[in-house]
Amino acid sequence: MSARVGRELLLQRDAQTIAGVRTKSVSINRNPVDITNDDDDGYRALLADPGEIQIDLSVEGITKDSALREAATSTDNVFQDMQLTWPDGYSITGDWFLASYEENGAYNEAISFSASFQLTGVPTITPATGS
Amino acid sequence: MNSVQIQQAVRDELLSSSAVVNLVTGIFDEVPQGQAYPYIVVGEDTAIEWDKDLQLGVEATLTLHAWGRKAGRKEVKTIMDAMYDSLHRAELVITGLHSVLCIWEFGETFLDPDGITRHGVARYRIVAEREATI
Repeated sequence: MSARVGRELLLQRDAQTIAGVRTKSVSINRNPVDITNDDDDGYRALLADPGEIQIDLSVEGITKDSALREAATSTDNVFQDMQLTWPDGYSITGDWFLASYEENGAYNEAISFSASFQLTGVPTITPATGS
Repeated sequence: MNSVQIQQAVRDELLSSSAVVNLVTGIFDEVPQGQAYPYIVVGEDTAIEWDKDLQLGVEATLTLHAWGRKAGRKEVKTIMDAMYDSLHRAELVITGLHSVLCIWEFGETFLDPDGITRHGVARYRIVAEREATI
């Protein structure tokens, strides 16, 4: 895959790209299981499988509509089948818990927002298909 | 980057203000030879990108000049105040764009080197986004 511009990394809910987004950030934390014991000659030993994989997502942008704010103040806590798609076709689809939402309204700037999501459950991963 | 549309929108906003129009002989990009004082010139601009993933936008500044020949600075200051009342926090109507904000940044008055002409300078910041998404 050649270098691609960030705006081609798409965040979609119900096949609609979330409006106003400027920055997306994904982190995949793989928490190892430490099994170090006296037999390991002083070196750390980890299980081959991670104990827990956490996929977190944060987005920032200019507020264009009230969809995320309404979700943040309602019981609509989990966004079903929200999809993150890379330009090469790789995608992560799953249920995302809306963990935080923030808006900023400086008197001389456009209203902006940031939100963070945490993946819950097993996602559907689509491998990359192209460049 | 829509600089022409922004310049046009600012000029239209000034022309819609009778307080401004009644003070000057015209609002110009290029001032005609022999134009009578006082008048306003829509001058220098800057523009930087103000995009979102799916929508293009621009953050621009536009410098306006007021020129007068009456003794004292009151004439150009009065014009500058009228421009401020017209433009500061105005919702500009920009062709093809949605105006997010129009804000006065600073103003200054000078006596020009000719010793006769009074010159006022005011800069405004404009943020706008294209109505169409990409």
